[in-house]
Amino acid sequence: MVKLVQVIFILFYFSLVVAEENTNKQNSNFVVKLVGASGMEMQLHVREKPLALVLDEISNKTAVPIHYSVLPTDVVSATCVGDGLEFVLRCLLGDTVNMVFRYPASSLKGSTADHRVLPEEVWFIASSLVVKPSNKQNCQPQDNKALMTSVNGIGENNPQESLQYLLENARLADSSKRAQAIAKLARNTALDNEEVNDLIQSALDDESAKVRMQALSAWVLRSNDDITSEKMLEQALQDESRGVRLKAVNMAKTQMVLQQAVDDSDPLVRRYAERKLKRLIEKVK
Amino acid sequence: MKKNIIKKVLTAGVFLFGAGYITGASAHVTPEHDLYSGFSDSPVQYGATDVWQTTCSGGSDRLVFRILDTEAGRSNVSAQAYKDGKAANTVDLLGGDSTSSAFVKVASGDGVYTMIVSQSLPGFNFYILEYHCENANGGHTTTTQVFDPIQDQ
Repeated sequence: MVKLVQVIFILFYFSLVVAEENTNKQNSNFVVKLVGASGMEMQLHVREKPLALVLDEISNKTAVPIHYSVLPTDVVSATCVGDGLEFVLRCLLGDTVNMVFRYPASSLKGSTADHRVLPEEVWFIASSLVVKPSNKQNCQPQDNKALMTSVNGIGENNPQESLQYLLENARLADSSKRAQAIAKLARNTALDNEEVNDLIQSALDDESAKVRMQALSAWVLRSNDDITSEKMLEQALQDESRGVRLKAVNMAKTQMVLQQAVDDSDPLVRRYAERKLKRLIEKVK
Repeated sequence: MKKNIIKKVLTAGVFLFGAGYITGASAHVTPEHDLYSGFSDSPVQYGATDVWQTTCSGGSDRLVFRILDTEAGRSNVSAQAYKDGKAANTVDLLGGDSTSSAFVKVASGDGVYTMIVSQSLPGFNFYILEYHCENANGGHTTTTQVFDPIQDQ
């Protein structure tokens, strides 16, 4: 009996050790760090993760908004160490992806920016992301302060993992993550993907206004039926959240929807609708 | 006396016609467009970036552009233009008045220039983008008029 208890204890202990090792392994597969007092040096270590996840993590850690409309569905593996976000993103994505970095005015020296300072915003030009960067990049240190070694760039196709990741995120408790996942799914999946369409449909009734807003945008973006879209927007104008109603005005392309919105109880919604309606009428003339 | 008045009127007419013609030929503006960003608690925002593209040809040296924020409020509208690794940024710091941001230029020759418009705060904004292509001497060159953004978010 004592031996049996010992065996169970050993097995239990062994399973705990294995679980912890797995967690450590998982964590060590994805590291984004800002090093140094000024946060200039950046380290990125990533193993076979969807590009969207990597960019989200970089954006979260640096608090720098990264704007893009379409991303390749590939997974990435890279190890990049360098001074500044621009350096690290170029290591991750390669020079073939067109990026625009907006630096704070205080970092400008003449016409050039100090690239070691964090930019205020980053844009990926959509057309350049369609083209896949080379599979393997040989990033070389540019000076003594930076060392960049990219093991593999984008190129290992695994769309299912990326889709799966976004579908899982769309069901998380965190409403921001749900909204982000819906936005990405709306733009990066086939219009006839039923799983995605069902998810967007149910997100229209989400408890979070942020998610409902994103779902409305996703629905209209993917719909090829103007009449249904118009009805959806009219319905959204009844939402209790001003944000959702503003989004409906934003997506509106017809006088019918905008005319309904100019009677909204909220002055901001009314003003937005009035201006859009005026513009639309002028355009028709 | 009568002759002089007619002469003056004709001269003024020709001058005004000429001025109008030159303005019409050189100024390219987008239709007034709106931006809307719904939430701000995530660093990755959606729905607040419009992308426009225009083509410079006929020996162009650069694209010159500026932006007019036509909605009063705290949020500033900015425009960035980009081509072949060169970019420039301009911001209209006061929305709702008739003064545009400063003209800035991107010198990347003939070809397609991408212009990105964004705003500094969540909410809605309206803007008009003004742009034209120039040769090395500052003379206006052929510029494609654009009516819709390639990305409207």
